[in-house]
Amino acid sequence: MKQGWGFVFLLSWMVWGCSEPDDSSRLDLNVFGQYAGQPLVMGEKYPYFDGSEILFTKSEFFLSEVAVRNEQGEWINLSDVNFVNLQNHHFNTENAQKGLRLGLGRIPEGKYSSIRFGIGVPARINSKSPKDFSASSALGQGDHYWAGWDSYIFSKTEGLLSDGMQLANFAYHSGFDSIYVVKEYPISLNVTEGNNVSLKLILDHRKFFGATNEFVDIYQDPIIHDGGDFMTQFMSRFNSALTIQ
Amino acid sequence: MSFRSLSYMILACLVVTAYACNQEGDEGDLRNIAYEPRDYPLVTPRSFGPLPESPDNPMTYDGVQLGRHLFYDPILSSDSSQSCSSCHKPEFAFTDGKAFSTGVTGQTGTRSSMSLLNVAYFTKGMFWDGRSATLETQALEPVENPIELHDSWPNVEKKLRKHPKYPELFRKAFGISSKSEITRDLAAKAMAQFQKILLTGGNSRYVKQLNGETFFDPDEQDGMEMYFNTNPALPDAQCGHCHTAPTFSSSDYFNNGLDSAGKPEDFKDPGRGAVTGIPLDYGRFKATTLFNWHLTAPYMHDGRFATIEEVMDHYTLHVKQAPNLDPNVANLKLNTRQRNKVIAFLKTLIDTSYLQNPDIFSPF
Ligand code: HEC
Ligand code: HEC
Repeated sequence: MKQGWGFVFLLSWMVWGCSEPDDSSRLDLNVFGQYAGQPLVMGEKYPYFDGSEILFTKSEFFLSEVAVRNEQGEWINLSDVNFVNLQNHHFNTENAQKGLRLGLGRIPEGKYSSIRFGIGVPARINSKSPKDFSASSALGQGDHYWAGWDSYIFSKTEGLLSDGMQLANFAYHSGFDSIYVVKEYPISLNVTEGNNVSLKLILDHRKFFGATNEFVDIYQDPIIHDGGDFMTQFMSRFNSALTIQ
Repeated sequence: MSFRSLSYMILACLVVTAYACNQEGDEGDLRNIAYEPRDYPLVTPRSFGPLPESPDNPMTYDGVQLGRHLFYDPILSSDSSQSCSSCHKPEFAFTDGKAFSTGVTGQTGTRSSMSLLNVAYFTKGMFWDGRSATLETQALEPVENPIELHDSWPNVEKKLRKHPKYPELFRKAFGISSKSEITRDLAAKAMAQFQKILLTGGNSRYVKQLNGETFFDPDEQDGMEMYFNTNPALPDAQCGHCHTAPTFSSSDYFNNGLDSAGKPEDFKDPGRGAVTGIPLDYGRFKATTLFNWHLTAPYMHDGRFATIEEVMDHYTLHVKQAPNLDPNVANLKLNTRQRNKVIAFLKTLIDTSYLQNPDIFSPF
């Protein structure tokens, strides 16, 4: 019997020993695609600025170099390259309301006042191409890379606009090192031992296209994939369409 | 009878039964056959990345050889009339050159056979609609499909266990110790290993040009610039968005405008939608590889186009509207001369050097 207890002790010690890393906390980012403050459901129609109806078929982007700043002002690096794909998740209201969970890795105990990341991939990664990565990772997939630019496609926003008379299948793809910016957002995060924490990333797709007084004429420019002015402006609106809570 | 003698009797019965089974060929001990796994000398096309890893099914020389036997052996079909290779022939880039394949019962399906070249690089599912997650799960399907091999796995397993040669091949490939360990899962793993050696592309003129070993003529160059949208002076052909380098295919699913549909249910073949249930996935299909397209006609999931010219006409003149029509095929404006230049570029994606690997052919 004595031996039995010894065994139980050994076993629990082993289990405890194995699970030790779980004591540190994890940070999740819950991504909520929206349109004018409403949950964005792929394939569903929303009013565009000019009275047309807009629907989205694709919304995806890389989110890279995530870091958080602690009370001492130090930046703690979290996950390096993440891929967010809303079309395979926000296909009904329930999912759009729940948000798409993205694990950003482990975060040490402490208080944090900022998070920063970039939409796209940093130059050190953009100088590579899918053949440098496993085909099962986002960076290893040809459709996330544009051989003509020698660049990863940082973001894709695609869909359909129609007013009953005109119709435009649109696709806006961003890329190139010049478009990649790391932006900082204020947060208030208190991480205590063993407790997982999460932040909300809200992305209002209406704001990608401008505002009531000035908006993209999608019928005029339905397909843009380049690093020119159009996409530079589009991505600067993309960054401001993004809020962290 | 004492307890002891009863025990002896039971033991004797067991031995006799085991022996009987053995005679039937199911329990045969294979441990006297050497099991010495070694790597298959695989050469991936030089412009590609590493093969996606499959930790559950490491590739070995003998695994590939077993898969090769199974792939070409009509033993997998109910009436021994067909094998995988009936619909996937090496000389047609492992398609069958028909719009719809015919199975053992003479029934035809509603989809065209697919090229198996570079199939190892697809990471988001097998078949036109991706309904099978991996090559290992895919290989289980044709055997029981009534419009393909139309047999049953329990029956095929029995045939393989009784076969004079297969037990040895399974032993060499997977180290099994008895015939009874021959299962459908191991057969599927072996066929997956075999299909992973079906690679092409590294000796195409396209890749030679990338490496500075050859130069494109002006038409090929213009065609490539349209394919990848790199020349503002030429119209975009957008092909490179879906048939992406380096494999010239994509693991993803798209609606490339074959049929018009107001709502998802309107698509005659639901494609990816039947697998995911996501409305926008209806009418989406896998963007297959364009390496060796000259061998895969007729084209598309239903083989509706006989020639590459018809394919180009489709993309530039006849794309049909649907809510999920991919924007990249919605507005292509290429004149005949430009279409021909894209075709000139497509011809640089021909690489038949895969036919020089003797291991891809029938061992029989
Ligand atoms: C009767 C003809 C027929 C036979 C026999 C047959 N196939 Fe196929 N194969 C097809 C067709 C048709 C498709 C496309 C089916 C679909 O998408 O629904 C296909 C698709 C595939 C694919 C998917 C390729 C891709 O790119 O996604 C693989 C792999 C494959 N077959 C392997 C096999 C193997 C292994 C066998 C033997 C066990 C086999 N096939 C037997 C006709 C056949
Ligand atoms: C929006 C993505 C997309 C674009 C852009 C695109 N394709 Fe495709 N392509 C597909 C899909 C998806 C299929 C399979 C469709 C089906 O069978 O239902 C396909 C099939 C094909 C096939 C038939 C392959 C076979 O073996 O049956 C050829 C050839 C082809 N495309 C050539 C081209 C060319 C040339 C271009 C540029 C002019 C192009 N594609 C642009 C997605 C695309």
